[in-house]
Amino acid sequence: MTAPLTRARLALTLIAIAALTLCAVVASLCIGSTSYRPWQLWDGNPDAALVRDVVFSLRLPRTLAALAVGGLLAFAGTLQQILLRNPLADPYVLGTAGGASVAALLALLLGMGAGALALPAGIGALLTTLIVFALAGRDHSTRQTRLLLTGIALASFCGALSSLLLSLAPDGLLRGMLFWLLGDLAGAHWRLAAISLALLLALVWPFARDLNLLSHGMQSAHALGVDPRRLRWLLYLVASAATAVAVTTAGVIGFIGLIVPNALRIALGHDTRLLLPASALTGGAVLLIADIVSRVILAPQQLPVGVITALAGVPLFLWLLQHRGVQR
Amino acid sequence: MNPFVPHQLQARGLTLRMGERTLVEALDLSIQPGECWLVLGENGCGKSTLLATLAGWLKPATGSVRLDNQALGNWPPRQRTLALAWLAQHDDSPFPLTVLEKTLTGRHPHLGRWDWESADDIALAKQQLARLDLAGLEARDLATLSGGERRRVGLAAVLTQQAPLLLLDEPLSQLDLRHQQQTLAVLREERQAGRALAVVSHDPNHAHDFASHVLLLFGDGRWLAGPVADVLTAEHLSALYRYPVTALQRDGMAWFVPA
Repeated sequence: MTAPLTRARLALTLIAIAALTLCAVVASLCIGSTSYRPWQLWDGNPDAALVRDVVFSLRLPRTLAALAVGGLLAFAGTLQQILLRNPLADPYVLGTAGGASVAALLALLLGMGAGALALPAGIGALLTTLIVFALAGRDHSTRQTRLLLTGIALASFCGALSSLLLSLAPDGLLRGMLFWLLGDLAGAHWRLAAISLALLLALVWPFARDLNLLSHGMQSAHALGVDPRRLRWLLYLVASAATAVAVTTAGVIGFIGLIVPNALRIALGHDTRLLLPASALTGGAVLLIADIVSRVILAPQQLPVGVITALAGVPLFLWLLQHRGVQR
Repeated sequence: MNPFVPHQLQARGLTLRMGERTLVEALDLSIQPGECWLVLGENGCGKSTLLATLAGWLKPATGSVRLDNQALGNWPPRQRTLALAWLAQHDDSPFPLTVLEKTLTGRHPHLGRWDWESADDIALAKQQLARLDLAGLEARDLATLSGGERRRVGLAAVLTQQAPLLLLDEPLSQLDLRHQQQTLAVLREERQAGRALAVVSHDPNHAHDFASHVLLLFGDGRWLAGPVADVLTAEHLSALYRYPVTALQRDGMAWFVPA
């Protein structure tokens, strides 16, 4: 971006992204096992009531869940990238989502109800972030290879733990537990996710200019009056909470937190004041589009949306890795 | 230049350690408005550690850093940064960042939580970039610049902060000859405007027409501080660099070269 960010450009950009997101919402509501034209909902046709029922009680909650979960993941990814000063950080890559999912699986296995899983998932997410940071946080090299490798190792470990827990699980629990590994929006509850996203975004956004400085470096942040230590704790907690809520809502969905912030950085620049709300909106839209694809591509069969995001996300991750290797 | 309140920075009995090594022992130093201190010493002798400590980033092993007779740690961060600017040795961003955005970060201490950079802030940032021969590069990504250009952008950001005290860690490293002289001229103007500077360098000749005082750090705890005329001698520099240095006289000034 050539000019520095202004309030007007912030508002215009967000309005434009919101408009595109709205298009995805309309598409999500209309496309499915039976597809409708938007105006069919309110025309005089006797079927209109039935159509409205399908759209508002089945598709709308799922659509809102996709928006909120995608938003949370992209938001968490943006924060983790700033926290670790590494554009390749993401709740999935660093094992945060894996940690949340292992903790949730363990809680399920110990007989906790499905409604109360946000807490163990949150603790799992927080713990894995802390482990990654304790093991590799002192890696001050520019590429921070150690950090990324630690995260990836931890993510594999969490994957193995999840498989272990699954193989120990009685048959009755198995189907419900499998959901945690794949990431699925069918039957997801959107309210907690949407409220969390709004609250966490409102909590962090006032510090956006401080986050800009933190992302440039701890020392320069200190030199400009930001307390990097305190700010980093805020990032830890908020990124972990966002990941935990996303995971409890829809299971482990990878790479949204990686694709969205990095694409937005290329398109809009790195100013966190814009990047945070734009990530939250775009993350929602991208997950929603992935969900539409997962419903349509093998219709009437529905794929778990996590499969789609991983299929699209891994090549992009590899490309980013290559691209950075050349640049530095 | 905006008018500003002069501040003074003091080190009292400052001891700096790195692991087992004592880098600086019981350093007493007072940097007054209008003074320019050139900090010299071998690689790893503690120059950057000293600057980071004076900036409040590192804690000294013993002793204290005082800004206007008040312990630096007791200053609210924002008030501190309005008085004291620090250019660290490394300030690379892993994210895309334009030259103008980086320069504008210097305005952060002047802006409230809900404020945005104003047209005046942008004009000031552009003015500092122009002084350092960076006009026209405002929209470039920092990652596409050369090391010397990035260094000057870092300095432009620090100047944009408009603090009366400047701690500059190797602002001239990686700069070519012309840009070194140009940057020295800019720093000289800052000093004439009443600012106080502490500048880490590897070239004792940078002191000419620029520094009022010199601090030599020997890396083993010993240090020597004082006015240029007293401290900057071939004898002291030979001891400092553990390599023979001689002074060549030209136009009544001593130029130091390896013997």
